[in-house]
Amino acid sequence: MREQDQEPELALDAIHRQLERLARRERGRLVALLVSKLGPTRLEMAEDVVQDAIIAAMASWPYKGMPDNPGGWLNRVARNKAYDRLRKEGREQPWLDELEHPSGIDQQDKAGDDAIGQVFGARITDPELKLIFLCCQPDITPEDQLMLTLKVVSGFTAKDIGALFLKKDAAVGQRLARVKRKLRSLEAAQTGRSITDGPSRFEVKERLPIVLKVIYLMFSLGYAPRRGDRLMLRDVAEEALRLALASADARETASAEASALAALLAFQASRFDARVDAAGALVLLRDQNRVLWNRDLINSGFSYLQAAQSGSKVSRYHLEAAIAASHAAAPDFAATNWQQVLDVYTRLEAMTGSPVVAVNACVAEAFAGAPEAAFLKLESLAKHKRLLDYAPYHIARGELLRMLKRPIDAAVCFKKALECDASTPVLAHLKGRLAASV
Amino acid sequence: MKTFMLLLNHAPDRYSDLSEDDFMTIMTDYIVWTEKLTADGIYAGGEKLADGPGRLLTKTDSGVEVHDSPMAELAEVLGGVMMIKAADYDAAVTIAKTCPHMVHNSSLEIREIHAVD
Repeated sequence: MREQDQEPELALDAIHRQLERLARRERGRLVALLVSKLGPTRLEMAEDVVQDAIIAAMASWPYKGMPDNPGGWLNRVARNKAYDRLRKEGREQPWLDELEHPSGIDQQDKAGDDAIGQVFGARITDPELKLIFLCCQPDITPEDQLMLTLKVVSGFTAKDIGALFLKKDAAVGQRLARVKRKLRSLEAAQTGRSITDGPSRFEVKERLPIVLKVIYLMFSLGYAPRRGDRLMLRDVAEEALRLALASADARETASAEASALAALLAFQASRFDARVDAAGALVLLRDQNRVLWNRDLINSGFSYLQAAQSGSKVSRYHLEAAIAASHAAAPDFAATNWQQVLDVYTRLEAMTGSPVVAVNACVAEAFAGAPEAAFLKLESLAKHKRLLDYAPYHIARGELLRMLKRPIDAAVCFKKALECDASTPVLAHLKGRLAASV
Repeated sequence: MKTFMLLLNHAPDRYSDLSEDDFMTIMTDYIVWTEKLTADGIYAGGEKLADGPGRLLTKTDSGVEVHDSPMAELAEVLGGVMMIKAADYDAAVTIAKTCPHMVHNSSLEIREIHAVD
């Protein structure tokens, strides 16, 4: 009886997930395909017609059922809508024929459907990669680049983005519209190039660090939201992972830095299942059941890390990936090579000058066997005002005080951490530790 | 097995001011339901009616008058039809009660299709 009750539930969930994925994943892919045909100045038209196609699907599929090839269905409807609009504009251009009889699009339709459900397997298409570069124009602010990438490439709605950045959806909508206007004027100003060209080799080289930074920020937002009731936003983090793997793999963007970022995110994502328990609560690294770590992701982490050794330059992604690799290689928490972790953190601190990195370096130093020295260094970081409302700083202080057998002082630190912004599960975890007297 | 038609009524402005997210959420429920019924061999097709008024033809002494059908004034309009297979009205009612239409809207009419043979 129970099984009979559960089986349909699972099937429904699968359809839910498939539809959500279509609306997100396919949206970006279709917009990218259309932009590659229509040119970057028609980004908004591409977004509009894909949006119209999704609305049309939502109106039709309840009555007709889902088509065998939903991605292809959306593609065909969006393409026809684009064609109608262009005709209304009265702009007959040679590539219209190509839009009508697109070469290769149908094969890609199928590929899109095959990819459904394979979160990590979905490969980026060339047009999508071009689209990310379009969103990462050096002339717009980093936050705008990230918002635009989330919206245009990853198919997040203004509401999703508003929730991520703690902003109202209407404000996000206006801001995105403003960024797109700016983008259009920037692209229009670049003369002498065919509109269907992607970024030039020079632009790829120039913008790749921005693209990687945006992917890195996207992952961080998903991995550890600063507020909200969820410990992780896995869809956001997994989308960032997909983009990172894609940039490391694509011929145009393959580089040591892209491989290092892909390695870092693969290692971090390998711990997702172990990092949260069945009730949605946080599980600390030291308490994680390492059997739950995703071996496939760890293995790809190591191979990307190997590929990252090809360049002469060591980026922060190299160092962060090396730290993540140390954790991935340790059979359990006690067996972690803390000295190695500490050495890499020290290099990372020197490279970035970031107080947040310094906090992590102190924790590694404490585990490497020098908690007193580490604690003194941690206290000296209090001069960085922005650490004072940063929960992980106070958690680190509490953690070290606990190691130094000063539970009362440690409790004070955890209380301070509770006053900072953090997601509900992190706050619940802290309250639990306080109740168990640290 | 008999075939029944579900006439899905909704308020005239039900979907006009919805945000994209809310629209997606509601329609996803319907799609999931249709897919499940299709998999179970119960669903027998359907059509969504286009939004906006249709035409109402009335015979008068001077001929046939044509007007836009009155929509805004009505409490509910027909939004679409679905067909399902069921043994009898009781079974059809049981199935129709699971339709997300009865969560997201307030009325639904079931009519048996007259089988000729």
